[in-house]
Amino acid sequence: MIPVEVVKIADDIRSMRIRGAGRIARAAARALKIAAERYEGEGELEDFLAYIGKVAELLASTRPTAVSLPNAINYVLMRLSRSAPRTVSEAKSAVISFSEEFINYSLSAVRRIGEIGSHRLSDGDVVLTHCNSSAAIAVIVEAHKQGKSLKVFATETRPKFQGLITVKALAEAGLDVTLIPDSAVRLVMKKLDKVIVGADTVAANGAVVNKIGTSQIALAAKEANVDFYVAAETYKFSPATVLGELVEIEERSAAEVVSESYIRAHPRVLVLNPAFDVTPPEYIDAIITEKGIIPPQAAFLVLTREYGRTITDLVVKATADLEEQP
Amino acid sequence: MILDTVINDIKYGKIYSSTQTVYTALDAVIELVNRCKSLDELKKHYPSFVRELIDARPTSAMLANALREITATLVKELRRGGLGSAKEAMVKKVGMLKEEFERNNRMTAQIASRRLSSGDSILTVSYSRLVLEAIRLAVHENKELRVYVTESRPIGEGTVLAAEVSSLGLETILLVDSAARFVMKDIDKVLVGAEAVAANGALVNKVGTSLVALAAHEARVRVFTLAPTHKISPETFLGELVELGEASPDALARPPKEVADRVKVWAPLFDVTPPEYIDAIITERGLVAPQAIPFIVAETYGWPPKVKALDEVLSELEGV
Repeated sequence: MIPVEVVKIADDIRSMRIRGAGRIARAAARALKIAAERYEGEGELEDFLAYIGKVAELLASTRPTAVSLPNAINYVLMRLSRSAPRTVSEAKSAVISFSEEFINYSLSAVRRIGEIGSHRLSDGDVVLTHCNSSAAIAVIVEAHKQGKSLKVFATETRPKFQGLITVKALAEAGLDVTLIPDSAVRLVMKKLDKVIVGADTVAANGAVVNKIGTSQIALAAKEANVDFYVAAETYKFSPATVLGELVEIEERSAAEVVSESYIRAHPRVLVLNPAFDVTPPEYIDAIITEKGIIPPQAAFLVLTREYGRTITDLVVKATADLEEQP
Repeated sequence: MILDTVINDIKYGKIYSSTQTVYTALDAVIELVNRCKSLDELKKHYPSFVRELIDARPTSAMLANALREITATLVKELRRGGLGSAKEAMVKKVGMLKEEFERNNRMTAQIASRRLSSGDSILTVSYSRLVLEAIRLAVHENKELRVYVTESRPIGEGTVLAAEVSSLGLETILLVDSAARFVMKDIDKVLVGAEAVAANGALVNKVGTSLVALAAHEARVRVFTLAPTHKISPETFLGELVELGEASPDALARPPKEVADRVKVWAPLFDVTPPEYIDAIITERGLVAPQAIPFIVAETYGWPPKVKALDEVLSELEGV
């Protein structure tokens, strides 16, 4: 039986009450920790491992695009398996401590990105951000704390208006912030020095999957010769893309875009509501990670250093699959 | 008709179609003129009201063009006869202008519809009567189209256009403004209306148009604007820049109340698409490259263009 609290976290991720790739990853780790704490059986180790496997599956199924979710789960499960527990209680405490370790790592990664990225912002810069990214906000707020005078534009970010969370965070940190519609990003581009956004997933070639609209902002930035930065923790890099796996772009419901009454009145209007888009690496000046700033084309370095073992496992599995084929 | 309400509706983009916006403005001018009992009253109220209309919608070349023409008619008739006959002549002029605009629009839509082929996927933004008419004509010729429409915030009039297109029986896909580049790979042609066309062929239209045109350019998708010649701004030949209006801040989502007094809101209504992202401007006289707009202006106003600034015509009225 999966604890109610864990099911609730999974539901909250699915319904976007918990949102943002970093927060989703931490919520998944927290859910694993709770699942381990609440496990009642004292019997077979295999039963516990099967139970944790089910919890992991439930959590992984909630959102398809953000790789931080499976990466957080893998972080805990791989360390669990490497620790080779002999009893249920050893396994429980391993899940609990590795989950906590991931959460702490994630929070410190965001802080570190803030520190590293802040050096890229200069006094007097006008900056645009899109959607709501803790990492991007960390960069801006850290630069502000260093006494740099910044002006920030934030998009509304339709359909779910995450821009409102961003303007709140920035205004509370004392920044000069202006809300604009998503359609105005090319118009505003002339006033800007830099764009900084977060990421849901970074692919092996350095392409960045992020909130819908990001790629056209990057395009407009390129056109206007404005620097475009992505702030992304290394657990947002996707090992599966090394093996050619495509990142699935989640499509969400029409009701996020138009009212129920509009849908009823105009049944023939189809609403296309992709949650993410893909920004090609050539439109990205740099990706700011907690390990350092890299050009997007160097994503492979991060992937092999951080996920060497996962990639090896994937390669072994792919090779086995190949050999099975007639 | 409450004239202040008209000004506000025009100013904040409450009337979706730019043509309809101008008709509303012209009807308001007739209403104002009819309320004037004497020449003095007319001289007092007319110029300020016309200036208010222009201030409410400074981007609209069609509005400036129409107001310039009807004011010139008014001046001419006042010099010749009394207030009564001037009023009559002006009402007649408004009727003639509307007929001319409608003729231009029909022809423009017809030419545009020829550029639509069966099987095309079209992307459009905002709410353009002309684009809708071109699509209607293509449907009439049994062309099968798929139409993508951005919701077009602020205001969101794209949702209204999508509903109307879907009622023509076409597959209609509504998307948020942010998804324009995402769908561009599936698009064959971008069709948009026009608020104004400047001397260099730049297009002033609903904010977001330039972003869509940029994404189309990147994906090598053709961009057409439907802009009958009454949308060309002759003032821009004299170096005037087109002033871009803004929606009222409440057209955007409301910032959380804890920070409402600290967060600024900017809701521009228009942007400028450079001529290099436009494949053709479709007018009632034919389809032209944006760089050929000066030819059309020379045909209409002579070369160099002999255009009296609206302010000049208004001061003539004050001097009658």
